[in-house]
Amino acid sequence: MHWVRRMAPVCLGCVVLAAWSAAQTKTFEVSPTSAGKATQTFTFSSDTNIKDVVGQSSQVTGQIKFDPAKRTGSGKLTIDVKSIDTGMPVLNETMWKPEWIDAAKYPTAAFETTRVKWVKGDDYDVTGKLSFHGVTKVMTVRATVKYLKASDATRAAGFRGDAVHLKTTFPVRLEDHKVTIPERSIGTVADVITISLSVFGSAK
Amino acid sequence: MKFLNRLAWVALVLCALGILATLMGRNTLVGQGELSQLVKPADPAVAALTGDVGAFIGEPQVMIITDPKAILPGKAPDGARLVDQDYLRRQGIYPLQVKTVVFAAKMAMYGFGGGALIALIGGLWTGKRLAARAS
Repeated sequence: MHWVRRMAPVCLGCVVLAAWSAAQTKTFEVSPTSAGKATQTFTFSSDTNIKDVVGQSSQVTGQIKFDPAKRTGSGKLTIDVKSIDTGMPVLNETMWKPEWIDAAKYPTAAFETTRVKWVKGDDYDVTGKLSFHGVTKVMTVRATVKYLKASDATRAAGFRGDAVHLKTTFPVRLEDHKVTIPERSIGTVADVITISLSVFGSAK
Repeated sequence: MKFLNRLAWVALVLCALGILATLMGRNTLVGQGELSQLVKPADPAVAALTGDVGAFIGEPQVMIITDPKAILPGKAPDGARLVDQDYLRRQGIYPLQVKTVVFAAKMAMYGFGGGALIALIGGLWTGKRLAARAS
């Protein structure tokens, strides 16, 4: 009985601590409509000696779990590849074709985290699985995650509560995802494209 | 043969003029290019919240943008001018890239250079034939 009496406060403390700890991890929704006045921005850039091609989309969806106190988190972001717009309709149509990214067969690309390591300030090394064109590759990218606590400024920007702003830029080798550049396009499309993301998550 | 000889010299002159025009056009366009960073501008309230002017689209590159309304105040960290991507899209402007101009000019120069060489050889050859006939 003495043992139970002694351990009861400890157990209660553990439960409270666990609950407090769990409460620190917040879940943020990412979607084109959840970001208030902010815009979800996905871009790809293909830079060659002849021309640079840039495509962009705001159709990024997913979820970010983030603990600002422990500086850790997780998440998954998905993009509708047919929403990527280069500004040239002919180029968009070409890009979606089966010999390129085959948007009909692989309509989305996704990045799901497996490990998040704080580096310094708002910078994190995020390891995760990039699934694109039916191929999943593990990669580590440097990302900046800014936690935006609910305030007049966040409310003015259209967020209902806390928010998070994630930014990252990383290279993707097309060959790694079995995207082969047709012979007629060699020289005008880069082997390695640069992906950039600037997304806002809104607390649920 | 005389006609062919004349045609060859005319083609040579035209190719030389083509090279000159290409060089002038290239230099004029390249001179208008400036290092530019495309930006998807943020709403003012969002910009105030994040401290960012907006999301950068692609890498900075030397582009020819003559519409002053497309230029945003401020500079990118690397000194590139900021260009409003949304404005360009609304106006249906696809900015000309200097690297594309340089590449196209190079191809045109190769074409005119090759044409000039063929015209020169043709002119000399037909000239020789005409001289041989005359003697």
